[in-house]
Amino acid sequence: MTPPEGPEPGAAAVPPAAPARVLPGAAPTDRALERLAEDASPWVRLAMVEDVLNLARANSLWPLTFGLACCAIEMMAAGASRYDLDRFGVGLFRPSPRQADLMILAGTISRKMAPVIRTLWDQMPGPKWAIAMGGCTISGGPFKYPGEYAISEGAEKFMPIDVHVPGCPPRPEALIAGILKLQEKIKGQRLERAG
Amino acid sequence: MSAPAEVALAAERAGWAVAAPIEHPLAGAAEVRWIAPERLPDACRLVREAGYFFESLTCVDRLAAHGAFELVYTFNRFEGPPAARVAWRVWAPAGRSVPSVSGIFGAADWNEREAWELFGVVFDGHPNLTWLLLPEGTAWRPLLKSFTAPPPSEFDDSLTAPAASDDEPARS
Repeated sequence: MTPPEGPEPGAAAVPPAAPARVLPGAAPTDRALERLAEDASPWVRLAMVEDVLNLARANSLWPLTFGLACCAIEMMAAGASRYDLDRFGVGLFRPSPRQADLMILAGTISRKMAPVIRTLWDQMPGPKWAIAMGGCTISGGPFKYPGEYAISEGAEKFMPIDVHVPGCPPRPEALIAGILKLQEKIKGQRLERAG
Repeated sequence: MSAPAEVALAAERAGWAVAAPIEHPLAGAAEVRWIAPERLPDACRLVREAGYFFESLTCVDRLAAHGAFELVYTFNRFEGPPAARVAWRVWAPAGRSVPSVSGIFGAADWNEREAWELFGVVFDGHPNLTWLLLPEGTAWRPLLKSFTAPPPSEFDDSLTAPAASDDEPARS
């Protein structure tokens, strides 16, 4: 299950030659078996299991109960009855990082808070995802100016982020759009990513 | 329960009030007195026994003009009359410490920590005078008027730098 190699730059028009699958000195029966495995690969490479697992993961995201600043108000609104994140399976906010697989970074990250967030992220078991909600978590937002000394300039400086949701703060619809985007991403994932 | 005027009068009679070092009226308080720094715990005990609670501590940088910090302690109470706020103002020359009142009003604990970390005012007898808002080990006092922030290159937001030491910065 190695990822397909990209075409060489400048040789895009020529289809790449099939890699030599036959081991030197292999018996004819081995070659037949190899060809059979190649033919059968679409069915035996666990594609169905992956799809089912990713479908389950995407539709039962458990976010960490975790608000940093004003964006958290919009996140709470998104979780409440009017916008109702439960419709997408994302409404079960967990109070412990050990039980959560989605971190919604909602609000300004001060330099004092950044190591705490990093610790929480490290404590979450994989597979896990993160949404940067609002300008502050993307780049420092309104706090990025000359002479600023206390606010971290974006969460991506110290942890991986899957989806960025711009806004100051983003409306609940925007957060929902970000979550749907994340679900798309999860459904397209292969098993190697789980970890 | 004493009215603000009675409390202020009691502080004056005890000799804790001093002449105003600067002429700058303070709005929003029924009674305002300048208190000598060494008499501040006595004055705070007085307002506490009179039924007041600690409302806030603010600090003003007057270093450029006067070489000192102005500390404003405000106290309030829930009972009427409406204008019930009492304020003690304390003149704290740079380099001189002020007695902590966190033993009298527990709520003053964090206010004093804030004044220490943002201005560098040292409070004698504070149980835990350490950083409250800024990362541990921050060496500068950002609310001083003379403060200019370090350039962005000074900060490493990637958290790969070694952890800041627990040593306190040099107290000014």
